[in-house]
Amino acid sequence: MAVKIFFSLCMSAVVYFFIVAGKSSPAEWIYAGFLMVLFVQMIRTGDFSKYRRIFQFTFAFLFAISFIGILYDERGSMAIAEDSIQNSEIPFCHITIPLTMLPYFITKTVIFPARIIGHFASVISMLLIWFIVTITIGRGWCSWVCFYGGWEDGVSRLSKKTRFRLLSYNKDIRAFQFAFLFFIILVSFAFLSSVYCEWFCPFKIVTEFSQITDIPGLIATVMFIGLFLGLVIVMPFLTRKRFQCVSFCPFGAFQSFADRLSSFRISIDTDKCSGCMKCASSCPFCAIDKDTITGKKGRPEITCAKCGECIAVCPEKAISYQFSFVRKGCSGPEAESKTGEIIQMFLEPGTLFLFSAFTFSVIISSKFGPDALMRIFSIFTGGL
Amino acid sequence: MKNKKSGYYVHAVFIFLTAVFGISSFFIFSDIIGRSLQSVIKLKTDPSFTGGRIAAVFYDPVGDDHGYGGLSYPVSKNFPAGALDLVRYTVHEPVYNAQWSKLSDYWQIDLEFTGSLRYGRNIRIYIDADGNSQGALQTKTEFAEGVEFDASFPWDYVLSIQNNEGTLQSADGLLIVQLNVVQTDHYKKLAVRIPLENHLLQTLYSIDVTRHYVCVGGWSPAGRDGFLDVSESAFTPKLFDILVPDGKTQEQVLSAWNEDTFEVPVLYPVAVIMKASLEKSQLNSAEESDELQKKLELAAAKKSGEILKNSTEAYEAAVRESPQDMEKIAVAAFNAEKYDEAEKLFDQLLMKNPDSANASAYKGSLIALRSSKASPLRAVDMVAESYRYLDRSISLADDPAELITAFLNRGNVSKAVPDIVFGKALQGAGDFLAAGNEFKKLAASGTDDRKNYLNSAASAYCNAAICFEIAGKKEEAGTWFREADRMTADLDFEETSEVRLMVLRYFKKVDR
Ligand code: SF4
Repeated sequence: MAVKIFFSLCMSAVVYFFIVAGKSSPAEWIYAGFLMVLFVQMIRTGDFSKYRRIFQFTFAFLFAISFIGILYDERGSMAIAEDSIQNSEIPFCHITIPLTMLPYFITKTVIFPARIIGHFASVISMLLIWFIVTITIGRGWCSWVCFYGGWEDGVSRLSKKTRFRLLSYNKDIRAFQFAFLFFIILVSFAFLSSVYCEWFCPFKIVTEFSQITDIPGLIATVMFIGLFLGLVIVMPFLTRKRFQCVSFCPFGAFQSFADRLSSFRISIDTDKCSGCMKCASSCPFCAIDKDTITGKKGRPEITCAKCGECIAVCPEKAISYQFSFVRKGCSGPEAESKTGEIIQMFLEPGTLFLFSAFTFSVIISSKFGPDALMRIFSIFTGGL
Repeated sequence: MKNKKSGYYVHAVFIFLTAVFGISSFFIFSDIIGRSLQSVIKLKTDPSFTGGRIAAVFYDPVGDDHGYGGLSYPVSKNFPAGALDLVRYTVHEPVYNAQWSKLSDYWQIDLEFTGSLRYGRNIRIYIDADGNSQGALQTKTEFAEGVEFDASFPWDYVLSIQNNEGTLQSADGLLIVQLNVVQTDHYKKLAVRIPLENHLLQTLYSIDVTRHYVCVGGWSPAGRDGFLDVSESAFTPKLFDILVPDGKTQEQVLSAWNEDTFEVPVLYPVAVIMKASLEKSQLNSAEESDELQKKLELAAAKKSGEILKNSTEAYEAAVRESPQDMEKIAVAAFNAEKYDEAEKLFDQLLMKNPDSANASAYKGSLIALRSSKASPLRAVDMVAESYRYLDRSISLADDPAELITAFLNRGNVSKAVPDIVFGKALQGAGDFLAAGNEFKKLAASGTDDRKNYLNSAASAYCNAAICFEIAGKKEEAGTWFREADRMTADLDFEETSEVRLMVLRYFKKVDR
């Protein structure tokens, strides 16, 4: 109990500092309250996945409202204007990170018209955020930080039953995602341009897009809409998986590799596991195969995004968060005294993971959440 | 076994600290971390997005939008101050196969003004691209601007830019190409892209030197070739600002008309080496600049020591001689860095008169100063409170002295607080520019303190430039550092050491 209170108090300090302090509108307080309710529920019930899903879907929705609102304020439309490109004012999106790396080493320039520094969506800010997220929660980015992933999280839960089972295709889906990552890195390198943004990004529809001024522009727009509908709406609805995140997103694939640097992982206790496969069917990231369980691998596959879904469904309580430095199959040392027990409670990997991951959720959403709420209020109060 | 156990705890405690303190602190200090990182890795965006690699940058003095020297600004409210005041002219290298842009092959030229203006500028850029004697020496439309061109460099192409539209025309009139003109930065900046798809223009890719005559006039639909009539002599050039090469002044060049002999002024071009690297500083060598920096640091330290000593004496004198003048004592205490004392006095002043602009300005700064010693949570609230005072001081200020105090106080706070948390750097730049302009007005009013005011204006411009740098706007930073440099060039070395030091540091950074 003391541990839960301690971490709740720490989280309320984080929420206060990043959301409420220095501001005075009710939107900030409402958003801060919403986040605190989610956190307290997570830490109280131990069910991270349900409240995480609520957070991520809400964040994706509010992010779209706020981001589009900001675009309208600044340039009067969602379309990318020539002056935004010329001034290098296009927000630098995390998905672009892997695509710009190789060209950077050759050209010594970033092949994306974003500001380098001095803005929350500048290249340096995004690289720093990526770095700190990577060394702490790794691919947990996809389930706790990403402002796009929530769309799929929301849509995949609209249907109660899975209409199309993917379990036996897990490996192929993962292989496709990695192949697509390498393909997109190579083309970006060949054309020295972030080709993914120009042709493949499914989220243009909820962020910003290029004006249609020619036939290639029209084709690209059709692609964007098709990819959004197919990968973000239809497939998640049918499969109850984060289909785009697991089969297509180059950043997700890249983050699976970068996850090696993270501090946490998911551990499957093979002695407790009864092989019921509930975790495999529920994993939204196709990260648990039949082989993972039958082969007693002790951890999910490389695409695991630490969402906690499998932990919640496991009837044997065989799945848990663990520190990455603890070898597979091992657990932390047994406490030998009362003080040792207390220390261990504070150092429990699941709680530390939750605290780290949710801290990112709070900070990354801190500007967009209240801003979107203000915009929604202003619709009802007659302004905009 | 014991080792393994302690290894586990060391790792786990490290992760605990990272989770509870590390992540939040990382974000709080990400501004500083980001800046330090950038100073090492020096990331740049691909120049083809922003116009191509910069071949040359020319800086024109701020406030010289008076043509030959006596041209008064168009009276119409359509022409706000500085709207025709060219301050920077940037020529890029031609770009081939650009991504994201409507034009994949283009040549870009940027013009930047101190004031905003959406409709009302009429600009001609005459370019000698071949360096030979072919081309024209008269303006595109005879008697429009009221000037002629240096006979050594007749122009081959003219860019006619009116508001947000433009064309390129060859001297023989056979080639006409539409330009892509984009107005940015609240209509202060024009980015002019010349499409190079036409094979006749593709020679620009291989040219080594081009020469540019840059002419800025007001636009009027009734004027000859759209040039706003300046209603003076028929021979007065209708140009408010031009770019002149080193060794000449705009006033000299544009006033050289003679009504009796029917002579019109002759313009001289600036030369652009088309494959030059980024802007060069005026410094000669690294050793020289290091030595100069040491000298300036010494002088600046001596000066700030003197200022503090004088302020302390002034404070003591104020307490002794005018104990009734609470504001005087409070300001003197602030300048003497007796912040607790100053705050108490400003609090009393605000109790007596909540509408005191000066007291609000200083009170805001004092709260911000205190916030640097508070915990991060408390600091955010304190900075927010400080801005309530600072914003109020600006709305209350009603004379130049109060305005300057208000702008400088808010500017200094905006410069000091982390931009990633508060996002105030650009507002700070605006405040310092406004304060600088007020100082310049005072300098121009013919007082004995002209030199001091000019130095203060230059210092405000340097601080504005630093704010622009913080906000990632390095081109704007360059404009204002150069302007400060120009303003202090003829002033006393020791007196202006602080400004010179800021400028020197900038030049050294750019040079590297
Ligand atoms: S393995 Fe578990 S934690 Fe990892 S993505 Fe799948 S459900 Fe989420």
